[in-house]
Amino acid sequence: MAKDTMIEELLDAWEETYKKGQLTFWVFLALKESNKCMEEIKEFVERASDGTMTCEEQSLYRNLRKFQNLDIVAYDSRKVSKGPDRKYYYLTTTGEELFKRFVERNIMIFTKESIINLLTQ
Amino acid sequence: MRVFTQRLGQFAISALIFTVAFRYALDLSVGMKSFPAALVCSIVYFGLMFFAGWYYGSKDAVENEIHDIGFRFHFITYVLCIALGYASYFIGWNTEPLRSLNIGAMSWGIGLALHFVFFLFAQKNAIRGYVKEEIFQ
Repeated sequence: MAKDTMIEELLDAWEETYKKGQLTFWVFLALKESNKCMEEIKEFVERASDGTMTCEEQSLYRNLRKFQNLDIVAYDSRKVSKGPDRKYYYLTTTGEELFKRFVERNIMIFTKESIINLLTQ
Repeated sequence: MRVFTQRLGQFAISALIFTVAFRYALDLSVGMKSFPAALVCSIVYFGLMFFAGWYYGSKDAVENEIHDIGFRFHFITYVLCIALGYASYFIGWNTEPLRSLNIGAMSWGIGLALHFVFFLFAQKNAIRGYVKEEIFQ
């Protein structure tokens, strides 16, 4: 197997594992920015991650419903000109606290100068 | 933890209909003194209940992801079957004698209690009914 092909395959395998569980991070980030409906969350995730993260609406919907049941996320219904009311999701105080602590413990480490230097050398 | 879901409700309604129909059919079969008819009723009833439990239970698992190891469905089945068993007896339908109903309720009740213990153990690895490892997948 050519070296490039092997690296590409290993990269795919690593990314597949790495991305599992990342959807929550990007969804929370989207909701931290502002209240959003499903389409806006999806659009934010794809745009903010430079297209490296994509999400199916079905999977997003299931996750949001799960987070609602866990009181991490809630929504307001807003009227739209056509069709049923649209749900605008937001992080609850529990969700905000959870996200804050997660970022402090797992994301902020990447902003350390020593780590940035290693990543960019 | 969410206890009552739409699928559980649909299962309960199906189970209620099947059980009433089964008790009524059993009443007729016993009235006719037809053992084969009673046997067929029991087999059909078992098949329908099994299918309803499997169908609504698997839908519920996908839609709600409640980690209850089937306890809610078992509990509803127990309540309906036992309650309708006693109801059919007191209505005066041809059915099991009271002693048999009591033995059934107690032995199944012990099984249900054991299931409840396993359910409580399963909750140690869950938050509001969701398996911890699966919440953020």
